[in-house]
Amino acid sequence: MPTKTAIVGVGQTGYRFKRTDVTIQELAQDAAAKALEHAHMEMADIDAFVIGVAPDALIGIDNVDRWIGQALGVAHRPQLRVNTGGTTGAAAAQAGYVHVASGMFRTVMVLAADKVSETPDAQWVLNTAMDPIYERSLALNAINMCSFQAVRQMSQYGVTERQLAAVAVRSRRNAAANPYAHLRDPITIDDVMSSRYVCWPLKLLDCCPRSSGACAVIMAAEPQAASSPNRPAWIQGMGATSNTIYMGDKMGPGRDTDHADWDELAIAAASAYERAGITDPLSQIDLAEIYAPFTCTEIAAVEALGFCAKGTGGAMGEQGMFDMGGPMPVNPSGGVLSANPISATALARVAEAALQVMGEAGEHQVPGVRRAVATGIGGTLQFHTCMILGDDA
Amino acid sequence: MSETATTSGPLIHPGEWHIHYDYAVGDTAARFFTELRDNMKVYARRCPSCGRAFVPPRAYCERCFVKTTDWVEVGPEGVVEAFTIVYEPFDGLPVPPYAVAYVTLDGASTALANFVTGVDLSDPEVASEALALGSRVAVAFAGKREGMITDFHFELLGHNK
Amino acid sequence: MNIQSRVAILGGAQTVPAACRDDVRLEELVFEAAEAALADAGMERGELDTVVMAGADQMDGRSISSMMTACPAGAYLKDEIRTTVEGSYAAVLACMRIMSGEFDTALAITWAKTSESPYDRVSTLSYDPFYERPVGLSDVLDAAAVASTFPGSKSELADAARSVTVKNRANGAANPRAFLRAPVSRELLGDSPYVAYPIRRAEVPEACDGAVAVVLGSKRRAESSPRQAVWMDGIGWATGDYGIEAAPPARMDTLRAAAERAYTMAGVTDASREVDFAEVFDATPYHEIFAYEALGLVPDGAGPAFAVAGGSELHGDLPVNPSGGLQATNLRFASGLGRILEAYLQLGGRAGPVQVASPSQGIAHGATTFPAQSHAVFVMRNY
Ligand SMILES: [Zn+2]
Repeated sequence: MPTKTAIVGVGQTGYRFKRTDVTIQELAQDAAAKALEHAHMEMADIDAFVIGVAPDALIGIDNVDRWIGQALGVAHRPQLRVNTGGTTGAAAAQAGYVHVASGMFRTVMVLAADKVSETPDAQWVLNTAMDPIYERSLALNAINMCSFQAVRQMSQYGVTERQLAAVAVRSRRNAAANPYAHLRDPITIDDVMSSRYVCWPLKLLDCCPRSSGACAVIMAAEPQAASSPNRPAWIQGMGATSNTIYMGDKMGPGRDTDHADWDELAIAAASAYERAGITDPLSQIDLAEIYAPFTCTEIAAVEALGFCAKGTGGAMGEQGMFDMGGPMPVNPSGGVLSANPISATALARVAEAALQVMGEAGEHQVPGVRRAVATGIGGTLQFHTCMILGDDA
Repeated sequence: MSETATTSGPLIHPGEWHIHYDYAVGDTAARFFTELRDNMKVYARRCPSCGRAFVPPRAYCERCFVKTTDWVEVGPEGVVEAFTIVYEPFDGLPVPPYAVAYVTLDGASTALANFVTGVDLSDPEVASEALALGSRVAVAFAGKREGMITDFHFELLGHNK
Repeated sequence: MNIQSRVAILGGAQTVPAACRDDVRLEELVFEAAEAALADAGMERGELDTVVMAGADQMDGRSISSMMTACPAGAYLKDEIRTTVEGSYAAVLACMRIMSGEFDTALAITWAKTSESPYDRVSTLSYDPFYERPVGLSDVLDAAAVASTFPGSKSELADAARSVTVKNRANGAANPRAFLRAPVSRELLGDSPYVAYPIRRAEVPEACDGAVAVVLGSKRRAESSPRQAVWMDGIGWATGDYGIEAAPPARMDTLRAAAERAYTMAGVTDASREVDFAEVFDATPYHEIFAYEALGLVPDGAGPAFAVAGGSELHGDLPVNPSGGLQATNLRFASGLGRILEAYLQLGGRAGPVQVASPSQGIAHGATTFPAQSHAVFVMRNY
């Protein structure tokens, strides 16, 4: 049996477009200090570090994790970097979990930071993630890969642009209650519908911002976690799935999975649910923090997590199923549509889910949370992660 | 030292990060690109285990985890599986608007991405209707070909759901 | 420490190293290694629970390069994760995943295809953009600066460096898995021009392309494995200061910290007596000499004399880099997993012409150069 492991401290800097007042080292220090303060711990109490940084080129320093490590003052301690694109922060959390669950360490800090505003070329950088031989010269990037999903959802399931818009409206409404969110002004369906097309059918307000910021969580093994002054958020299950980079393989007649859907997330969730003993997600999970950088992706996610049937996510969202106070609140924090510090985005989902279980989410707290799910997405919608946090081990 | 450097706003050091790489396409992709360039043909690579014909060609099947074996010609026509029309300019990427589509060429098991021409993109609603999934397209080759994926693009043939 | 499961290597493979593998694209090179490692372990891809990769984007010329390499590494619709520190960290993370009891089997994989990328430019990008990059630091310059901090005689150290390179290139000449198969003489080394004093051109090995993979499994899985299991009983890793180390860098305090963790975990109290051989990071011969001391294979200050006296030779008291190390097979970034593979083959009696006599316990060591050197140390056993 894995050593029982819980999140006992969370620190976030708050997410903004630009942070010219600090270097990325200082951003990381801020998140680390806040997590330590929250956990009532000191840096000396941390046995190992996992640092999540996605493409170095977004920040402009190769191996920037080591620059960050220096700022934490952790020389000669174990430190390991994870980079899995969008899932980086969630994959870092999974790596942090096995540091403790393996029995090797009592405590670990998982930290992710990004300062995307320092390159004006973010989509160019993300274009260099595409197959350099077959696909890079076709101008593919993080936005149009999601457009391909949206057009398939519209064609196969009748998803409408208004249903997409409803996702953005709810995210911003929730973000208004989260002081860490980047975009906190409420918007209307009409605002979304009248915003300009970026990559048809996705409009400007269907898209996430790019943000600067850092997030840290501290995990501890059972004896330490149980004596934490905070209510621990126990890691009950996790899963990850990798699919092909080639989006075209998920479209033709030879496909195993469909680019319209997140069948990969369903596989990762099945693994996490099994570990957590979840058989009926809608009744056994109280809220979801979903990595949905574009409106269409959240629709695929709620279906993959088993909250509603395939093809119905758009309509169920429009009817309020995922609102605060609804049957399954999704992204009480405002989610990725309201803040996207790329490397830290998926870790922020884990952190927000943990805060909900700890009962410390503040104004966007869902009442009586016993269990929450956090997801991550990366690559050409090919990497998926899922983590279940709950109030008992 | 000037005092104004730090009081007139944040101090920014400019940086550049341009690295040159020489990507080896490998023997499998080289054959594909050579056929594009010299013979204006599109070839897929077939998995001996599951029989799927991959285009762009893969040297191995990710599912069966065996090397692919033979070549099969696909196209020149196919069907749109997904598309987008880009209206926003991005640094380093083409000037909008432009359309990119994934197309399953006749005889292929997987879809292949490329630019689509022959559609007026000025009105998003009209253009998206013209490109609707299921539309038929044909491969159109460039006059001057360099053994690159951009040696061809897709031309819309008309709607055929 | 309360480890849930002992971890074993069940098989492994490395592609034949070559100066330039332009017959395959990077992903196909990765597939080659994964396919061969699974075959060596007698396993199918379907039996893998997780794939753990180590890869660095700028080396690969692909942002988030694991997007391209995950499926050729065997991860299609499977659990997968990627670390970026150095090749051996794929094994670090894979071991922890199995030790947790969450996974039964894992494939750890890494690769180098630096024939496609300008290594020196990439290496420069690792430095702090404000204070260090403008000074033109690179990893060879750093290694030279580190060598300058060794407290002993500089001429004795340079002489020992020559002994190490001669030894490793001789081992490489005998090792069918090595890249550089021609031995070198002391005279050739002495005549080689300096790159950055005291490091000579012939002491910096030419890089090669290749991929390395090992299959790992839990104790339960190892019991049904067709091959002799080799156990990963001690693992330690650490990252040092980003700039030049506070202590004399030649002491390799970060490596000492990593080794101490691995030894504590494995119950090794005196490595010089208990270890039968070591495969270590030797991007320059100086790194190997400093590693003798930092790994506790010899007392502090005794590294150069140990090298000159032949103690680390293939049939010496404590063979170091019987494979020829990086001096013979320089898979940049990936070499740490190569050290693990070579140690695995030694402990299974499969090292061929460079087999050391009946070893039972060995050390593998992976590292990065400055800035912020990272070191991972593995204590491996066949009992
Ligand atoms: Zn197949």
